[in-house]
Amino acid sequence: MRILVFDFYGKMAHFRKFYTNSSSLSYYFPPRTTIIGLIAGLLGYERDTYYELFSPENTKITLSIRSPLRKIIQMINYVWADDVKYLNASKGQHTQVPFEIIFPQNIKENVCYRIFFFHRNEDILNALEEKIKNYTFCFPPYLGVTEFVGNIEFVGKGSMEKNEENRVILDSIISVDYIKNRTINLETYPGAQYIKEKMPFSFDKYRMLKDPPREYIGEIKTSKIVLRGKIDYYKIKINESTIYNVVFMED
Amino acid sequence: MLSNIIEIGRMVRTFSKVDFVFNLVEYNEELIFDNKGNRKFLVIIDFDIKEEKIKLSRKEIDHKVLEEYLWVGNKKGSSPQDRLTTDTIRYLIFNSGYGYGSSLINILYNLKKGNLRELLEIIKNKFFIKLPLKRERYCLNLNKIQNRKEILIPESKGIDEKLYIENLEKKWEKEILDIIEEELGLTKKEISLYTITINSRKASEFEEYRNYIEQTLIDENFEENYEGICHICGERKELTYDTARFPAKFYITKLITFSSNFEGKKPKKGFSKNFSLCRDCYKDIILGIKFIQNYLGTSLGNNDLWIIPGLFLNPLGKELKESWIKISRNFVRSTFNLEEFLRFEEEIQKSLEEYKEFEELMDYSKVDLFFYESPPGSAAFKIKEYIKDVHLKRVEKIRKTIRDVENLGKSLFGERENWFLGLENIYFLIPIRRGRVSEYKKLLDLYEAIFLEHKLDKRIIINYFVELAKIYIFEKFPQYNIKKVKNNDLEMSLSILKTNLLLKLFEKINLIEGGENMPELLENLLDEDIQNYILKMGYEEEETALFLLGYLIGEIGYEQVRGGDFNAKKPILNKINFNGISSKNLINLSNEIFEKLDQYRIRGYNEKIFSAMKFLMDKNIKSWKLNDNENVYYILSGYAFNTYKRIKSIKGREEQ
Repeated sequence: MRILVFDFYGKMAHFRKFYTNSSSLSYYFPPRTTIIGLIAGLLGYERDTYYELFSPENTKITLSIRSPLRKIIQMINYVWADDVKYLNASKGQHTQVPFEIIFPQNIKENVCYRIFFFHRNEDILNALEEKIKNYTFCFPPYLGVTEFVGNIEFVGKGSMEKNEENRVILDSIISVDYIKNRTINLETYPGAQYIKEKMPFSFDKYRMLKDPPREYIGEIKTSKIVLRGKIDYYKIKINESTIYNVVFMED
Repeated sequence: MLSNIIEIGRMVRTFSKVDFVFNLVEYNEELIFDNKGNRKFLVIIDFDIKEEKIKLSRKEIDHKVLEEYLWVGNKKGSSPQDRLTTDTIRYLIFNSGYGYGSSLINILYNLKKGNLRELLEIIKNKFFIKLPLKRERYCLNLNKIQNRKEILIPESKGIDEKLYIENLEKKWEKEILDIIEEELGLTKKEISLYTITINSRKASEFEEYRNYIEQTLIDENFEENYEGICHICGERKELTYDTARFPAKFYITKLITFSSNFEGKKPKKGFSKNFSLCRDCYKDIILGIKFIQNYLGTSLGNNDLWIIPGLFLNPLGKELKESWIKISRNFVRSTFNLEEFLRFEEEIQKSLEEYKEFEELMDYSKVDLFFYESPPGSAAFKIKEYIKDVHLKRVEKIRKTIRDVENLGKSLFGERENWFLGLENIYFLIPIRRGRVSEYKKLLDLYEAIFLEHKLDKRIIINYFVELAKIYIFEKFPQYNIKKVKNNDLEMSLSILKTNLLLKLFEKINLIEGGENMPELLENLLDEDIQNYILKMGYEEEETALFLLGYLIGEIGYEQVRGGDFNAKKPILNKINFNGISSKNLINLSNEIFEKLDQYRIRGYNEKIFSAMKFLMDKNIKSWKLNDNENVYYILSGYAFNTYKRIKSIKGREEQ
């Protein structure tokens, strides 16, 4: 099966947790719904029109955290609008919101996520590949909020094959359900910092939750997650020398 | 954070012996204190059914009173009032809005059966007057209040019914407030709540009332319910997006800017697309937050903090336990200061079984550290720092290292001082300017780095330490978090030595890189004490040169105040430019120090140290690696080492 691999990066990021807003906390990595939004934006789909097209039945998505991450909280001013008519800031009032921002550990580098994307419809894969390679995105990419302008870089077109092993060093994030359902053990890894995020998984056509939110485990320093147990995962080969071990967010 | 809150809430729901409704009590500081800080009052209207009399009494309000009398706020919106504790007296005696007039009558008609209903029925008949109107309306018979002159209900004939009710309501409110002032000596301003008791029994003592309140309060939040998937448990159920009653408001629905498509509060639109939850999860969040507020709150470095333990993955189907949560909290707190450290050690001795279980689960455990700001009297709740998924193994490493560094301090300087550098103690080594909101971030970022093992920029940390020294030298205490001290010189020296140990601590927990070993040549030139210190601190050549230069400044300083008291100023300190010393100026400074050693006739005693310093400085000066502030810091380190040793030995002699 063919799979597209591309890097999504920028100076900083903010992916707001659904249960905080008056202080806005951020996930360390974008939820599946955000990645879908990103891809839909690159392809030029209108807002809220693409949820079914990128449903878990049609797509497989996962990501690898490519830069060691950290967070800082910064106060920012929001427009105070308790009614649509005040969105133009005519009320003249602001509210200060603590806003968590994701940064790379090394400030000179970028926050970078490597996205692995598969779609049943080859045309979508081809269209996306062309857009990324030629930098002809319909809507510009950003890392969670429009102020955090991002960029996309094509990594390669890979092939993926299923594999099974007793110990795997994984390059991608992994869902807690996957670990629990298969009674897999998470191993500690030197220098690793595992984090757990509960995030939305999919929307129906009205942008209401379609499936339950899921918890994912990511590693924010080495990007490696070590698993022991009966693990079925995908090996993604971009060329003979570049191989990634991943589990998809849908698995 | 949310997962932990929910898990804790679920645990409380499963095991709690207290009714859920007590978790809905609103603790608003404005109800407790007026703006001058004076305590406010609760007025109790007791219905003595046997004597058929109403008795008034008062109570100062505190958190316990709010709980005992079940203050859960008034009924929202324009629905008939039905709370027996309220901040509006007319809701109890009369109410011109919807319903039957008084909360007591409204609740009577809402209850199906039971003791409370029977008592309220009697109260209605004995204490309330049915108004001469077409609609069924009641008001309290104020004549039932002990020893009152008669207050008559005015005639209603020929008057518009609405106007009649409005006028009577005003009259009744004024009458009862006058009575309260006369009987209890309280003006309206001094009262924040009113409640009723029946034969001295509080409303909260009636199970029916507790159940009724729980049901209505939860229902109130589900008034605009809709079916969908709960954002927490993931089940398809009846949902709400109304989070206004969360005890800590980290999620608001007040501003449309936070809602999907700016649609605000509409079922299946706006906020309901962002965050919807079912009844059980709603309850769990409230219970979880309450538990955290009550048992897991503490403060660190003058910042309010929640320590929220959780299991990273639930191994072997283990669930959270209250004892386990509290041990985890105390385990983290034991890194704060020596008292907490010792208290924890004592605690685990007492409850070995529980500690054993805690230790078994340590590999799977984590805590979230949640620094927040919630000004008293305000519903605002701001997150200052959120340190997520701190593994307890890391906490253990920090604990152990703090103890190791404490022992290092003792071995270097003796046990006279407390060398325990817990997280709370660090607060007094990092200058935080008062009145600047952003300043606390320095400290919180440092805590985050410690817990999550993020690398630190040593130069920035050293800038803080030089700032610290300046506070002592220039007596800038009022502007900072550092307390004014009697002996600036001694306290500065102590603080600088502690910062030396702190750098060692940071090195051991992998936040900064450590230095190399001391150059071998120095072994023959320096005293054992100095050698040992340089070796233990891992100073490199430049750092050693500056340390020795600082040591010599300490020698001169001692000579300058010899015979004087500890507080005497040392002119030699004026030679140090606390705003930074460039490598060029280091040469001038070392020359001046040489002259001063001569002048005070102590060159002979210090010749070896001077030559070692000069050797290392000359060797490295062309490619000097340290910046201006670092130069100051290492000079101060040497100075502090010398000064502390001197003062300690003088004090030791005095004590003998």
